[in-house]
Amino acid sequence: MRIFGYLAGATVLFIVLAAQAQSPTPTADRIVYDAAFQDTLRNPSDPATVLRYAEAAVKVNDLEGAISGLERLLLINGDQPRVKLELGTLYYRLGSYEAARAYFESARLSAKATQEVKLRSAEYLAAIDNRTGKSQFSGDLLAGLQYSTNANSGPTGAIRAFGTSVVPNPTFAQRGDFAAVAAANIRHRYDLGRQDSGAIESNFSFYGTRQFQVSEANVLVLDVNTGPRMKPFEGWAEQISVRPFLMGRYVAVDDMTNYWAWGAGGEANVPLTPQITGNVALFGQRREFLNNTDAPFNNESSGVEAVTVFDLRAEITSNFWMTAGGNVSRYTAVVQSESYWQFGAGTSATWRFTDPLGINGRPWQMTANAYTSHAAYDQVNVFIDPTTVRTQLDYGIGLALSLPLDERFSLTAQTGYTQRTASISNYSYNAFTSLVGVGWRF
Amino acid sequence: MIGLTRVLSLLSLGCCLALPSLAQQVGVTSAAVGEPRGTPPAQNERILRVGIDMNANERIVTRANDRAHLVFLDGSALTIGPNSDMVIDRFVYDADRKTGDLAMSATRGVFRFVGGAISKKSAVTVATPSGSIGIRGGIMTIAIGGDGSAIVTFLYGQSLTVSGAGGTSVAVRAGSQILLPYNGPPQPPIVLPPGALQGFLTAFEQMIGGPDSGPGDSALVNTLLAALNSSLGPKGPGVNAWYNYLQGIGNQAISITNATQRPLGSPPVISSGGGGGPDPGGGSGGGSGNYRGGSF
Repeated sequence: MRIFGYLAGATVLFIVLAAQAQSPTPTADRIVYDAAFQDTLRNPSDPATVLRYAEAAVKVNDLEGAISGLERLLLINGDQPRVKLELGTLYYRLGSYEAARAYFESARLSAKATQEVKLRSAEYLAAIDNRTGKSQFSGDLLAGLQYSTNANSGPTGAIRAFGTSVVPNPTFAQRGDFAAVAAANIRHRYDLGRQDSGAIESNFSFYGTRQFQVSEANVLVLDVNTGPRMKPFEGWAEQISVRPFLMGRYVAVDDMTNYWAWGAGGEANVPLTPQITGNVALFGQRREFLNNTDAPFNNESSGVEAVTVFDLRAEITSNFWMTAGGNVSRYTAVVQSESYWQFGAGTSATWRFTDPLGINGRPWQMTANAYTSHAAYDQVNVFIDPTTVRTQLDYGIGLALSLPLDERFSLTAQTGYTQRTASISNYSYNAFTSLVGVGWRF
Repeated sequence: MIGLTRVLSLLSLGCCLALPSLAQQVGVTSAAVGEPRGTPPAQNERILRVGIDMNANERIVTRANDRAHLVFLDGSALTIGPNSDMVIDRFVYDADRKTGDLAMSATRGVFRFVGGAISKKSAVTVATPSGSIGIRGGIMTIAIGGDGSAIVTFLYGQSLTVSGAGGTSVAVRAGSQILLPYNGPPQPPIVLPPGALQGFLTAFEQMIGGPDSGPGDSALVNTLLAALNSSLGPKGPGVNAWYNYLQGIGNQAISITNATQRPLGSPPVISSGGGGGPDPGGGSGGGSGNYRGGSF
């Protein structure tokens, strides 16, 4: 239960930090910003004063203020690639990609540009290319080696059958194993060229594992969704983007089809403040489980699912951001003992920091996350335990570190612990899982 | 009665004479290249040097080699490019409430406006020979040609409204441009193609050193910029979010497979019993990055 304490603590931290970023009363940063602005009026020709103001403006998220400060430097001397890199970054953060591109290109082509400035500019230009243009592909690929202490999600407790404890076949006890893992997340955006930034957005995901020994835990997941994104509202809601979508999924376990799923839903992205964005999604899908030699009663799990997901993302500083969210699901299966309600909540914190080893000067990124989830089934399963309705509580924590090798490649390491406790011990399990891999972004 | 009239006349004359010294300050000249000139109301023309106060109703004119950067008291900034002519028509600002009114007019030249506190709550307007431009909370550039037509580029903000003879055009997407022909309605906004702004921003830059004034010591600037530190590279969603999501789906499938291998017949020959359930391995909210928007 300690995870609830951690989750509650993380949520409180999220709220406090987000509130601090939004506080209407003058914060220390705001006071510094106001004073710095007055200094620029009194002493406008001093670059140190101007840059102090720009720095203070960034801290209170007045990016336009920082831009006005830096642009005046170029009025006097336009060949300042470092200033242009900063300006490009600020315009990029505002989502003004063409203005950002102009500054990055100019910074990169300057004879005075250092290697670092050229490198950073090229990174941003690649990111802009991914976000602009009529038809844009972008994606992440990951290949690596994974080890799990419980690759087959084997039970940690006694096995119940027909309401009594039995001795399980050792083959199905929890088994640690290595696996080769490959995964991809490919996104396509077709820009409709409209003022509301309307676009057709499609996502395709792939996840496959090949276990070294526990072949029954080999998994293949294909996931796809597509739909138009638009900003249909005016007035106070004009920044809200919505996206109806169609979705489909194929999952195989042990090289045999486990289930197909298809459905539809909608999502909305709601910028609440410059630092905080909310997302909410609702979708429904049909899952069609197929029987096979590993799971002869698989089709009893077929059913329909309705899901609501919501999350908040707060950019506490430009290099530290947090998310918090939750989900509610209702699954109605063919067999009532497989129908359930589920409630989940989670939080994550990501910190981007300067390369501590001085390897290549590129920033590292670390993400910590924690989640919990509770599920309650509708009825007893008489084959397992005719007297106990299945309920279960999951929690997990994880840590991921990403070290960029160059513009596109990165080294990724992540580790996590998952634990499930259940009213029927068949369903309790735990696992430590670690992954080392190489990521490629395009 | 005659005495009262004389007193009032003297008072009014005194007010007029005192006007130059009582002119309302609206901002300051924060950078200047060449010899941009300003003419406050009822005063002689002066060369705008850095630190000179700008006044309401002041007219500013630049020639081919001149540029000026003005900062208003609300934090708005205006860059005035070469061969430009404009007037600050109205500036009212309540610093406590951070509200006010800023209106300008321009007859020729190129301008870049970066909105401050006023534009975040009400539109800042610029009158041109061919129509009016209003921007809320943002950044724009304006180029006014010799025929009075204008090209307005919306770089960032809530909205840009351009009104001309018989029509209005509104841009809300950063990187849009509206053409405002002389004596004609503004055209619908177009989204600029990649690279379209490349040469445009150079109108606001000085490429050759000269006897200019303002903060331009680049060596010092580079040192100080290290503290700003906002250019660590573009942020992505991070590989772990979508990966965790997919891994969660895979783990769920394994668990369901385990759960459906239920014992039939005699209890002792049970083959499995582990896992199962809706969402093992991280099917929680957005915080864990699993059910991310757009990746269901």
